[in-house]
Amino acid sequence: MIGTNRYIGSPVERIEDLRFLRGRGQFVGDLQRESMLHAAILRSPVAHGLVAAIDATAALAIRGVRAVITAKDIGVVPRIPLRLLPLPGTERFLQPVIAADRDPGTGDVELLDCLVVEDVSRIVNPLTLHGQAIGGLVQGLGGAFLEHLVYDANGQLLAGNLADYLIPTATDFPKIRAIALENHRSPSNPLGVKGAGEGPIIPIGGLMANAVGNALASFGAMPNQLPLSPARVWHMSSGKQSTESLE
Amino acid sequence: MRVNFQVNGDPVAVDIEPRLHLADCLREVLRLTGTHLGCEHGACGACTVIVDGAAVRACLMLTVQADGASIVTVEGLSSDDALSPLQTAFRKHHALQCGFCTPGMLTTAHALLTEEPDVDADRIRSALSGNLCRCTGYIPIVEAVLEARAAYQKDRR
Repeated sequence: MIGTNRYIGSPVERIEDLRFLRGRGQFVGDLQRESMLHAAILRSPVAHGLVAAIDATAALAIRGVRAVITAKDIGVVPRIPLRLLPLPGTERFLQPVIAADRDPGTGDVELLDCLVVEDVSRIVNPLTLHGQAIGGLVQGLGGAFLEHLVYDANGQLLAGNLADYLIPTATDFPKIRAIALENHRSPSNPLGVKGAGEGPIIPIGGLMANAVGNALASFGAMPNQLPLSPARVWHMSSGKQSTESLE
Repeated sequence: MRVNFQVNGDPVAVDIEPRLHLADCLREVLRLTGTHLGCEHGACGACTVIVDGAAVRACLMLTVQADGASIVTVEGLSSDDALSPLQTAFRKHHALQCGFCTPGMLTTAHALLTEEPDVDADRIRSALSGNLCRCTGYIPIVEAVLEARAAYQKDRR
């Protein structure tokens, strides 16, 4: 009886919001149990070293330390297979439309408009679907313009905290839109639904590079690295075609 | 050290180490785990609480600095019976997904709307720019805060 259910296709508010909004959501860090132990994960301070052996005697001698667990204690980790191809009969999502401009003085890119149009087959909850589209879009834009994993010559991550690794904030991308269509129902299940979640993350990096390349076409720019940081964009708009020589 | 302050209207007295920051005191000593710790160096805003009317990062404030203060946490924004108008608007606009940043978003927005019930979208974005959210893209949060303005404007009259 497709089309007669009053919940499928209507915005439905989430039940879990009631506890999250009151500060009663339980995250792992909130749990407190009797005799609870705390664990800390230690990584090698050398990025590409080969670990020959781990001597835990000093750690075990510290007061309060109950156990030190190393790879030797875990044994063989099974391979988890990945499914890399889409199911036959499902349609790929299509690409968003974008417009970008850049500040010729600083290389800062302003997103003038960004419209994501997804054909998601049948929409179950438009409220949460829209949240996924907008949220995924901004996460993609963060990867395209802000988020820079900087490593030193030894392979150590230098941007390992939220002060050094810039994720988007509320002021970064206000001019974005998302709409969803229901043109192609999925043939693989009776409801005709597909999964949809943060889909716009995937194409945004390439699209933004194309948009910036287009805006800088008169300089012959060919962006070939993300993020498109102000330094890189400025570099390309001062006559350097790519960003390869900048690092 | 003995420190006295109010949390969500109730007087509390705690015996704590001088180095204990306010967020750890709220979470570990008072077991008010609605205040979240994301980064513990003031970058993410998840631990924001309201101290004497001002939105404050509880991870950057020592508990001893709160002596004599009146503190509101996310747990104090509504009663058991009903969500506040701000919380209701967050739910309606799907302004939260995983919920981790939500306590800081709510306390920051509540302090803003209490001071400035007529804010526009640009001012809301600027005030919330110290609170990181990875899920929503911020659009629904700004929409929710815009809608909640009406309740704060009414309160003022």
